[in-house]
Amino acid sequence: MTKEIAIAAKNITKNYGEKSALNGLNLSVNRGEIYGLLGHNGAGKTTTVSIFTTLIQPTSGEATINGHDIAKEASQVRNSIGYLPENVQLYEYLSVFENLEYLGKLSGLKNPRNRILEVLDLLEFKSHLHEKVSTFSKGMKQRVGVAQAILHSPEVLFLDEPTSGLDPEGVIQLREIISLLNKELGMTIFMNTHLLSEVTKLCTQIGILKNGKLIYENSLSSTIDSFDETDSLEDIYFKIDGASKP
Amino acid sequence: MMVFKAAFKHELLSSLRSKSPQLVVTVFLVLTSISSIIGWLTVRNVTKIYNDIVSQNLTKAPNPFTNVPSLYYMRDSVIYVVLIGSLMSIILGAQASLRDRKSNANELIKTRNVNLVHRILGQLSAIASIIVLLEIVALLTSFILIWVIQKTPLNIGAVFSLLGYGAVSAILMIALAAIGFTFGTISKSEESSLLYPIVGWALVTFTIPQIITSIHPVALLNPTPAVSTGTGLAQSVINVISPLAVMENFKAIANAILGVDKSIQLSLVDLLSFSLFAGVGVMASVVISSKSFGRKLDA
Amino acid sequence: MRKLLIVTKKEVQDAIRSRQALALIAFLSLSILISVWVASASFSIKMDEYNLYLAALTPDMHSQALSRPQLFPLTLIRSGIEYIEILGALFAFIIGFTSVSRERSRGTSLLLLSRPIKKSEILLAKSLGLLVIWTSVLATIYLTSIAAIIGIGHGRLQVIDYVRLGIVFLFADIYLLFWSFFAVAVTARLKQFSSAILVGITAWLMVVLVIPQIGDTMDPDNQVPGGLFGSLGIVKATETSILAHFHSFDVIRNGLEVTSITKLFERVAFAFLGIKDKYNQLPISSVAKALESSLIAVILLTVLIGISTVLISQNEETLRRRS
Repeated sequence: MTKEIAIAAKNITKNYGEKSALNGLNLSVNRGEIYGLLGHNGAGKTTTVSIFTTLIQPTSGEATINGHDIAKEASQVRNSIGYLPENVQLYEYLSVFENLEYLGKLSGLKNPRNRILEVLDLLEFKSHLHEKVSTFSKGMKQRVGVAQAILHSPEVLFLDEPTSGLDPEGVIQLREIISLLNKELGMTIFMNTHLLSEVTKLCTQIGILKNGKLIYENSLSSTIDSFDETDSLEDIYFKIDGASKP
Repeated sequence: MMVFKAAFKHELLSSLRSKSPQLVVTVFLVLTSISSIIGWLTVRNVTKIYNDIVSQNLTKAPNPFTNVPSLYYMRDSVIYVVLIGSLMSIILGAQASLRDRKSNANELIKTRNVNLVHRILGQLSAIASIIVLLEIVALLTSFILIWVIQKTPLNIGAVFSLLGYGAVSAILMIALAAIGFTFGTISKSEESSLLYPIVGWALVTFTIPQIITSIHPVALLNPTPAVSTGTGLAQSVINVISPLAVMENFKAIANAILGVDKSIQLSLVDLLSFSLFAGVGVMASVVISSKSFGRKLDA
Repeated sequence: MRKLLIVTKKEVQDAIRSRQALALIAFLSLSILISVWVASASFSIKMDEYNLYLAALTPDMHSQALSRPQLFPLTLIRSGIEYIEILGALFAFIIGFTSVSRERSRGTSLLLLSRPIKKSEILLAKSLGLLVIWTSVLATIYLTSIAAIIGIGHGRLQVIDYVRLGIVFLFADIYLLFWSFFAVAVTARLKQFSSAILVGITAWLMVVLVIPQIGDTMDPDNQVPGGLFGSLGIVKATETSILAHFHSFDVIRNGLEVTSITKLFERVAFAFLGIKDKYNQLPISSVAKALESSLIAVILLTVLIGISTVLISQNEETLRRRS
């Protein structure tokens, strides 16, 4: 039985002037997976997410989300995705509710109040409903960031370096949330990261990006199986990447 | 001294690398040059009109432009300093202090044992150097243009007047850059750091002179200082608020130095209020900026 | 449409929250009050001088006395209009700049752009928000002006005067929107905010101050105290015939002036308020006919800059987070 494809990229290139950020990217993610895109800084991870979330257009190639073309059906794509940018910034002078109400309405929710309460309940953040975002720690802001991304019940969630800058407790909490969204709500999750530990603990499938090209793609379990038993994921990463381990 | 030198060099490098000062220099120079050329074209046109009138025997009055002082063509540049020079200086100053705040480089400086006063003096001196350089280029351009227009170079007296005018213009611009720098340090956001000093500039350039002289704002764009048409305001009140009309004081001093209008003499009161403004502006900037250093910008 | 209104509503709420609109109303109202106060004080001085002059005349000279100075109440707000022309434009730019720069520097533009709303809709909504803000500010200033003219200037306003003033404030609204739209376009498109500010301030200097000033400088009559022709003892009829020989210079001068929307707005405002003598007390329809091209130009320029704001949304860099 073939699995349904949630995210697909076919031969995508993205140039910024002379500089090439993506260089023939091919990638596919099945529905219900948690996909971890690994790579060095500057490998093209954020460019990839920006293309999938319709923030930028590829120079050439095609990409689809749930079968919708990101260029021709941008509106349908946006309806079916949620996005948490790296170091999410919110309207600091607004409360959690006001932030979510505004962004929820823009996502097409006519009366988002109940949904906001439901989502905050899920994220165990309901008690902060009327507090201003400016008073929050980074971890708390990240939760509001997740809330805004899942308000409209998207099928696919894009997370750009979601644990960046969080303390260990915040990292664990966010990991639990991501897992919950995948298992309970069946969301397909695509996350950029350079933290191998995140991938090991969360992802079902991994891809490694180097110089704008996907040089490796497989399920996490097969990846670990296909290398030496003694190899850690870190060792595996450096073997695939071809770079020597520092 | 080391902090001063390092800050000076860094500020010079940062300011010259960003596009802003390049645009400032271009706009300022182009407009100063245009003002001389337009002035020259107009005088030529007026002389043609005058000759036409004389040829029809309609007047016996002398040509109002015979024997105009050689610096007459600098007349409009006074207003360009008040308008363009001032605003650009405020922006230059504000951007300098905002640059560190936006990049959070202030955090790196705060953790070092840095004498903040020396650092700010270094930064302000670098901005002042840029302004002085700008003024030198502007004066040189004017000197060459007037030479071309009059087909003879300025005499030594006129050159000194030109230099004096350049110095006063530079002082005004440096003081305003320092004020801009202060607002860049203390304001909560980038917008307010520009909005407040520009509103202040507008009050000083238009509102206060209007209250004193009852001259309409557009007429205040005249390069010569405004003459009161009567506001009904008591003279004592006018005396108190006159020193606040900094741009009018500057116009009076600049016109007196350039000798364009013989009726305008250098006044001690204008000179004192102008110097006080410049001195207090720079000193307050150093004190306030060093005390408020490291304030975070609102997200 | 619904999403457009949601963004517009937030734009207006933000302006209220940041107290910007309030600060604008306060500053422009104050300038109107000062301008009416100064102008009416000036008029009283003129009246006092006239009364002294009358008192100095012998009874037999009264029939030949100069006519009594007349107060046209709407002309009292001339300086207020000039403040809108000069400073209003600057504030309008800053407000437009803020509306976009905040979103971009915070990075909240990413949250908006990943939702089913187009860039063009976001920019359009922001522009609509600015329309609401400026219309509210100017409506308040309109009322302040009337209160100032009646309360401070002791002017008597006819119904037609309210209409004239209304037309002028409508055009002030369009004029200020031009500057706010321009700011939105520049700030959404340019990568660096400092470049946007500099482009804006340079455009403001050129359009609001430099071009009108060059126009004034090029007017031969402005070159000599008391006017060139006045100082040479030339009467109006001869002046016109002489100037006919120098038509091309005047064409260049006028051509330069009409490139400035500020000058166009000033012509419209001064005509409807009767500040320009030749339009004083003329019926509104006659003024509108005489100023037809300026009226159209002000509207057209604002519409064009509005359209270009939407057009720039096609570009990928537009509204993206500042790098």
